[in-house]
Amino acid sequence: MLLRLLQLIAGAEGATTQAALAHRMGISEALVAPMIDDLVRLGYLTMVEPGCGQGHCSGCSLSGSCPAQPQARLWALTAKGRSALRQAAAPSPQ
Amino acid sequence: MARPMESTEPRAAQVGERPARGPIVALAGSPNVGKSSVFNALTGLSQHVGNWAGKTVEQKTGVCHHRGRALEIIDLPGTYSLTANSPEEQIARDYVIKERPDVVVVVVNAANLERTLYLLAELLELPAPVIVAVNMMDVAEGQGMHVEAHVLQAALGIPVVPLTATHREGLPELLAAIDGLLDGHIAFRPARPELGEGPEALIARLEGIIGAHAPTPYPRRWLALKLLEGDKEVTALLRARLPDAEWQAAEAILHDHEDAVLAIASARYEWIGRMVRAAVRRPRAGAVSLTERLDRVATHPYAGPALLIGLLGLIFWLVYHLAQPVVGLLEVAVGAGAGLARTALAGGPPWLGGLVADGILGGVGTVLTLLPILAVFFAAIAFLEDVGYLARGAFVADRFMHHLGLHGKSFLPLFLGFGCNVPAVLGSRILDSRRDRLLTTLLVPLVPCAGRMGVLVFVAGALFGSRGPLVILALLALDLAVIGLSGVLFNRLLLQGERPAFIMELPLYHLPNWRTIAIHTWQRLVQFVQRAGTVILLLSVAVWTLAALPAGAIDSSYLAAIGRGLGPLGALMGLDWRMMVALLASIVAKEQAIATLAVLTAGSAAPLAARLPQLLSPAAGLAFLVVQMLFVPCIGTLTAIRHETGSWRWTAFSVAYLAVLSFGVGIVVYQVARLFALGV
Repeated sequence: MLLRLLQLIAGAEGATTQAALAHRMGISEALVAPMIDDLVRLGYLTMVEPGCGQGHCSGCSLSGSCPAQPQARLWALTAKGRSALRQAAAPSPQ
Repeated sequence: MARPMESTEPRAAQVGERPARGPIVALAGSPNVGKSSVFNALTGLSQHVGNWAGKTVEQKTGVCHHRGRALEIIDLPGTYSLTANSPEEQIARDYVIKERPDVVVVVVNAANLERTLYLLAELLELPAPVIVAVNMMDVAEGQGMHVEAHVLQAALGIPVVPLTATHREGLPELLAAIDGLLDGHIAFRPARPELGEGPEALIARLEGIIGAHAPTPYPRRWLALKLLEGDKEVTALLRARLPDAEWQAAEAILHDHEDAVLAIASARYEWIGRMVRAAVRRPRAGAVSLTERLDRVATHPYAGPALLIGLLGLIFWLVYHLAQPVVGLLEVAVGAGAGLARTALAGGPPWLGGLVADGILGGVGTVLTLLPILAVFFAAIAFLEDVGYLARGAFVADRFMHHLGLHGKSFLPLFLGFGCNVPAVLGSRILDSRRDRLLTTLLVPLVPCAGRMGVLVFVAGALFGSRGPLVILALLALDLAVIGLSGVLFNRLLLQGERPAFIMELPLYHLPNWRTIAIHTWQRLVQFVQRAGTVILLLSVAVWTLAALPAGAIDSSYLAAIGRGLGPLGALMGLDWRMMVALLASIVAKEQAIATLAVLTAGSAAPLAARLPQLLSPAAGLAFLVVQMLFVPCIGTLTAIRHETGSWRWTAFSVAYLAVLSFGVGIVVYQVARLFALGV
């Protein structure tokens, strides 16, 4: 189930949402949320830093004119996540 | 404060009463399930607060008298799982394993069973009789959800009690279930998650390796399971206990099956999904949330981009219809101010009147006439941000970029570029690889910042009147195409790596907070005015000076000499030397193009918007707009590019690419427009 979630994230055309993932997996959105948290805890996903990567928006002199201080949380696959997908895709040894 | 219990309810011990030893009931549960409410309801005032031995985590215990029994209630720390990731999780599992409570009550949230049942899945692996208390039933009902406790009980094979602890509803039933388990009247046949053949085979092999070395009182199967899950504490424990040969054998299995944890956790989630599907009835499809309904359109693969383009069109329509009339009034006011200054300074040196009227008021004043345009633009963006749409816009934009083969994460800094290119370039740091950062850094200057948008809207309005919004939309479409094609080009040359996709959590839509929108708009306008009062002011004076020296006539000035040097290039686009100088000046700040034009065309009583059609044919106007949109970014952005790439070579490449691109597209647009008789 978690592997399937990773596959759907990797196979998505661009960003995907929890709702879309839940729909594709035939489960509730409420179940996708803890699965994502678990994948982060296990190191398969990582949370993308909010803002422009310079730290907190509150301390930025440009925050007043920045139109897109991200309101949305983002998660991306990690190297471990990609490796797990590669291993799952590889044919198992006879 | 707890109210007195009825005879069928538990009697809380009084303050100071010495707790009698009795059956131990441990309360386990995730955070935010109302576990404290259950604890308080059971124990009333007889609570003892201390710390868990050797930890700084608070320990709460209490006594509940019920039917002649003094139940000792232990409130375990709130945890989502039983892997030793935190002191809380370690305490909770150590307590259940080592202290062996007589009953463990797992409190779960009826409104969010999916998140809170995972702990139960783990607890069922431990040797403890478990009761599930489904708390917050009132919250779930309020959300239109109905949890059928008896169905959950049948599916789980263990007692399940519905509860609303804050209203003390379900407490007698909970105590009856505890009694039933203690007395052996209630069967305890848990339906544990089935982990599947693969993990079970690995667990069996590890159990065989652990053998008689399992430390007391840990169950061998549980140790093997936790080893596979990568539990650091269990790993350290077994590393110390197992002989080297056994440990190496175990380590080899763990190394070859590093991802077994995925299968184990998946089995638990499948189990949770089955339980929830069986026991929870949700609102019908007709009662889906407003956010869900709106997102069916806003994030739709086709309707989403159409909505985004439609909203951008609406913004420019609003800019024209709300802002342009005010721009006209401000231009008249600036012209009148310049006239007054010229009259007032008529008795002074001749250059002083020119400097103040044409250099300062003409330059800075004309830039300030962009304020209404930017006010509507900033307010519209702030509105979309505040109601929660902007994240959807970014989501749709990301899909567009992904289809062009661009890195998914790039859209964040590129989207920032709409405000100002400087933070957008700095924002490329969120990308993992240098190649991705470089690609994004090279694309950012193609995103029109607010200053550039102001110039485009002003010039398009002056030249094309009511058709201005259409021209701007066409320019944006061209810009998107250029970003896409540039991305593909750079991607082919610089990047052939993976393009990782990612998950985005979209915020809920909500009604706009007008105060927040007003504050954001105000802050952005203040920054714009501050720039006009500093950078734009200084450069306007410099432009006026260069246009006045050496003889006081613009046509023979130093600036004219520079501009005429660019004459052959300008001629290919129908632009005279003044337009070329305005483009060059925009490298200092994008708004400076307007200020420079105002200074260089001074002398006419008409405002700049009225003077522009005399300077530019429609074809030349289109070429100027295209070049202005794609031209080399401001010095601030170039400095950021140098800083982020750490390379003068890449900075020079960016300047050269954008210069060639902008002039190249400008020439094509001018020549094509002339074919349509727009060159007159």
